[in-house]
Amino acid sequence: MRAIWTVYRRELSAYFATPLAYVFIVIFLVLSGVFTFYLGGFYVRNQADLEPFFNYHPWLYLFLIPAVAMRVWAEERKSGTIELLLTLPVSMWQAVAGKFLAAWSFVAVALALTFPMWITVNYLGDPDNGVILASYLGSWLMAGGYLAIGLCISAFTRNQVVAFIIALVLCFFITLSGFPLVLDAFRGWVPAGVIEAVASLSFLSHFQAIAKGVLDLSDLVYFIAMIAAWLYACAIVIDLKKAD
Amino acid sequence: MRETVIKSGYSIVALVVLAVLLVSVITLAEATLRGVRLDLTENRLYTLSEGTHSILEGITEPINLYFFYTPEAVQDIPSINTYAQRVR
Repeated sequence: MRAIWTVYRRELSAYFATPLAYVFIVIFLVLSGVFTFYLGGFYVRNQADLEPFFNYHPWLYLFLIPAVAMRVWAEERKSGTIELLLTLPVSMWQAVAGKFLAAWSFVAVALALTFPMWITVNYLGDPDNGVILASYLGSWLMAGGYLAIGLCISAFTRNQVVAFIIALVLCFFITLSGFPLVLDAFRGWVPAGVIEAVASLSFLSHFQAIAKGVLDLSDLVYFIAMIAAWLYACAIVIDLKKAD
Repeated sequence: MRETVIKSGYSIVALVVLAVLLVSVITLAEATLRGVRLDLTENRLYTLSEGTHSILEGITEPINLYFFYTPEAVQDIPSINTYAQRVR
């Protein structure tokens, strides 16, 4: 536990020691505002809720989270510090968990800084704050899912740009896996059960289910299983490519 | 050389097993944990109120519920699809 805490603190302070954290947070806040007010039509809808705000989160994360995750392992590999890290008295899963939790907390900070949106909607009307709370929780869980995928891909390569692009494409497919865009590729040659399984992997449908205001245990299990599986895959990949 | 080949073989098998495990856990959770849910809305929008319960208890006649669902028609709308999976 102490080892995770040490890795966690080191990683989290690394975000704020470089411009990365500030650039990410500013861009995230600006874009989420732009999307809410212009594309989402926050005022035009004339409804006191944050739906136009949360609706764009999957798409924001699609670009921004792989950008945070791409450096995590690729940079260590490129600069050679991965050798140092893995020879320290820190086990593999502790290093993976520490780095993930640091990145996840960092995203939580960015998400928490959108609170002016919540204040605005409460000032303008009488929104359902339970729904907003559930949406925030769902959004954070979804960010964790994107992060875990990004971290796993980052472990594959020493090139950050490659990690970014592959993570982006993979996240895009997983986000939309309930939609015809992805399902049509499977339709016709695989059994219906497989198509249903692929469709159930979609970030978007699970996030929307939580953002409605209902916290379903199966959605919770989905996000936790997703994070755990990708992180475990990440550990396997690092172990596999340790000597590269 | 041979050891690394064996090791990477193990890792690839582990990754495949992990993927299968992930999909089965998610599918299983969706099938078994259906209905275990926490309604966070302020007005309990997704929960039956006590009044509704007592009305339902007072009904003696049999009630028929008809469920119409065309998978092909909602292909483009996954949220309706998941909803249909849940209420079926």
